[in-house]
Amino acid sequence: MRLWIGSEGKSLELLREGRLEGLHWIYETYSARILNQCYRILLSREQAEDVVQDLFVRLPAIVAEFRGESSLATWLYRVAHNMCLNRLQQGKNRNKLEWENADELAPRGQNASVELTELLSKAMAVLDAETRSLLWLKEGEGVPLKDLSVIFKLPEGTLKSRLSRARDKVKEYLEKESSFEKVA
Amino acid sequence: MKKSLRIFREAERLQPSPALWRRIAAASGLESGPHREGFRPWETPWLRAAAAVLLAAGLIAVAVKGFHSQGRAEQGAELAKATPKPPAQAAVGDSEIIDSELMGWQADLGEVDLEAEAAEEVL
Repeated sequence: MRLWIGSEGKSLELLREGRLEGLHWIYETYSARILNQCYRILLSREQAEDVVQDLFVRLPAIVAEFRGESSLATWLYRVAHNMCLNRLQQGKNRNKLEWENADELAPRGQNASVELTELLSKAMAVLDAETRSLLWLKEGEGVPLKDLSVIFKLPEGTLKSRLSRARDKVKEYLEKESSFEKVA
Repeated sequence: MKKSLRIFREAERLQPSPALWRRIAAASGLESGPHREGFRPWETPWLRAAAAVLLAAGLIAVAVKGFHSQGRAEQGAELAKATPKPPAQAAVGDSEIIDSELMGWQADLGEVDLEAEAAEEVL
């Protein structure tokens, strides 16, 4: 279901007027991407959906903070990233791995390789939450460095070196996994 | 593409559960505006076009039906003029329309009233 109201600008205008149609357009456009970002940070679908719900419920109130200095997607990624880190800090489970729950770590689906997905979830779990977020947005969502610099409030050079280290860790983990060789 | 990076692209994406939007919409406290600029889900452009075609077809059907019934009425009137009435039917004429007894009663009422008025004048 999608309420067609045209552009992103129009949806923001409607949202600022307190209209549900504006919120719905933004939800339809960005909720899946934000959910996956949150999932990669929190390693839990349930918690990721909680954050997405929280973000969109609060969006009418916080949208005034969006001044168009970046794209709406970039701004939403940043808000989601901060909300996820806050949740981890509140739960005192930052960097906590949830290895024991394999079902939770691997999303279910029909198209993509379940083995690859599960492997990625486990490989990502080796990293800390912020690095998981960074690596997912770069490699999973294809967010350019310029936008990542806005999201993480870090210079591009710093992000590059962090990404390089993160890739090495993931690669190292994957190479240890004999099943990866079979899959890839 | 490197194996370790390919895994990110090929990884499955989660989709928000259908209930998530309903929860958000309920908790947001926002309402749909009175004047929307877009379509509701059931108001697709195709559905609107189909409704317009049906409406036009209905209007044409009503117009055609009206034209035919008017023609039939005119034909009937012309036929009635052209056909001479049988003598028995013609004889009935006005006498059936005006009830002489009823008219007589009305005339009596008028007389009573006149008498009453005359009596009031005397008083």
